[in-house]
Amino acid sequence: MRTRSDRRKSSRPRDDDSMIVPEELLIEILKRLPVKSLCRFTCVSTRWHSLISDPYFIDSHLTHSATRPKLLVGFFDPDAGRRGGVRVFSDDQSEPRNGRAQISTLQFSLGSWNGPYVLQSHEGLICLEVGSHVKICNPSTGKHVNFRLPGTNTLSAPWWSCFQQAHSFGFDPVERKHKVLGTRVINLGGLDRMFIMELRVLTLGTRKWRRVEGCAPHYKKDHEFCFDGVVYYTARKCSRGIRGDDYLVAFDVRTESFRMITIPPRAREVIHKALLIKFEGRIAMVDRNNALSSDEIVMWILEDLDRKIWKKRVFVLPPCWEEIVADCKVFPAGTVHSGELLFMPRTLSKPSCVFYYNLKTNGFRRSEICGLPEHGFYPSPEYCVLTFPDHVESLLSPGGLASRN
Amino acid sequence: MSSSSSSSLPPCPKKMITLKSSDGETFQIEETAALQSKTLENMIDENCASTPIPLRSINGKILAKVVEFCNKHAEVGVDAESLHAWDAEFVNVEYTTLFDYILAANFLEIPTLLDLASGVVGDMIKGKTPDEIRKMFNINDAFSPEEEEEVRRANQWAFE
Repeated sequence: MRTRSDRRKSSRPRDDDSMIVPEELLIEILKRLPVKSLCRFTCVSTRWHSLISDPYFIDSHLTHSATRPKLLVGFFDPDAGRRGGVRVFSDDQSEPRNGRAQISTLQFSLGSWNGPYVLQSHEGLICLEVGSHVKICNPSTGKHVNFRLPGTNTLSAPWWSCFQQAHSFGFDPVERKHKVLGTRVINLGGLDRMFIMELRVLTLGTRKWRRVEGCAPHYKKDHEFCFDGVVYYTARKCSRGIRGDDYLVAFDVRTESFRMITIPPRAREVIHKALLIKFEGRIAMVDRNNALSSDEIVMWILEDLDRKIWKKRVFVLPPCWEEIVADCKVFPAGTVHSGELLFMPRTLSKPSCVFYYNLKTNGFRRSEICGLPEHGFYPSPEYCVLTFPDHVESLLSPGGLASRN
Repeated sequence: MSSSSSSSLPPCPKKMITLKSSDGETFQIEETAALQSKTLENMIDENCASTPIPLRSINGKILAKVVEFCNKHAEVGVDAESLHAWDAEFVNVEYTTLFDYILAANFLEIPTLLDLASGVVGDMIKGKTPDEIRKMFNINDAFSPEEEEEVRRANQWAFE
């Protein structure tokens, strides 16, 4: 056992006055540290504990951390047993060969998982739907909070009806609020195919789902993507016909208002499973399944949200891409801080590589994820289940801003 | 017409300002180099820099190094790589000296020096145990063993 009074080895005479480090200087040093070190240093002293838990410090740390976003990758944890779990690793996006060891294990059951999923984190928090709960986690601190999804009542959803329930995670940078949008569409069936749309919003820091209005019934199709305070996701409009139109739903996180933008049929022909990304400040789509099946990447960009104008752009990959990717099976996972389009491997093999395509310079690079454990981690092909590009490490509590301290 | 500057003027003299350390040493620094410090910049802007500026929280030994740092970073035509190597050598000192650099950089508001010195201390301490940190920072207000155990348990994963 270690004892705190073990100071006999300290050979240097101490001048106590010169060693009292003023708080603002301690902040300068600590705000540059990884979250894991800070969690460990909460034990150092009462002063360090209160400093690291202070909302002002948490903000300074976040601001500093935001200049160095990371790539988070999650793999099934082979040791997690029945409880299930995903091991999360962080990697440097800008410099190759600078991966870091595991940061945490997220616990949740894997029953309905058919990933790989690309999800987003906002100010260090992520959102997962697990069973009848929405789980908000901070993978850097390992802390999480569960919110029960609102139930249906027999009046709105009688026993013969069926429904699709989905949720989307968004962040409003103006008021700095994280919100979860819950959407439930209830199909009452019958001859006239009645649909009811239930929309609810949960603001982190509160525990209550609020009803909101203003969007026609639709089925959410793919994962959402949020930037500049707007959550986007592709959806299919519920209609009496066999197949409804495809829309892009835009939900303004601050005002809690909706817009539905038709996706042109020509885009639907090439983009079957859409990955939403940010391209030159606009929302854009690429196909998730066949993005690297030829020498071209087709992108549909929403040029003008108000006038609902889409534009197609084709990127011709440099000839070296096939050699760099070799036989690695990859899928696109979004654009990162640097503007590059990230490609993730579908399975984990050795060495584990990710790829970045620079849409401006047409450069293609490979980056190896280092720091993955050596042993017992490669049973059968290991599926990469979760990817969070541009993750910013933070000390933020998953309970939300209101309960930061 | 144009201003009255005559062609007989000597080449523009370098404007110097004088800094005075806590232990009474004085240092001359070119104004262009001093501008890296926001604190000094403000004083220059407010015409308070014509007399020696007393810096009561910085001793002569540290102030000499700070002046050296500002001079190096004000040099024209230094390529990024050699400056990087120079910086690495500059911060290759005892951590107590680094603390003094951070104190000085914070007081004088020199972001490059603050970033450099704090970053080095950060790299030094990020892998340490709480015990090692207590020794390094000479900390006496530690938790009671029971309290520490509780805080430690809440962050157990960070020790793995």
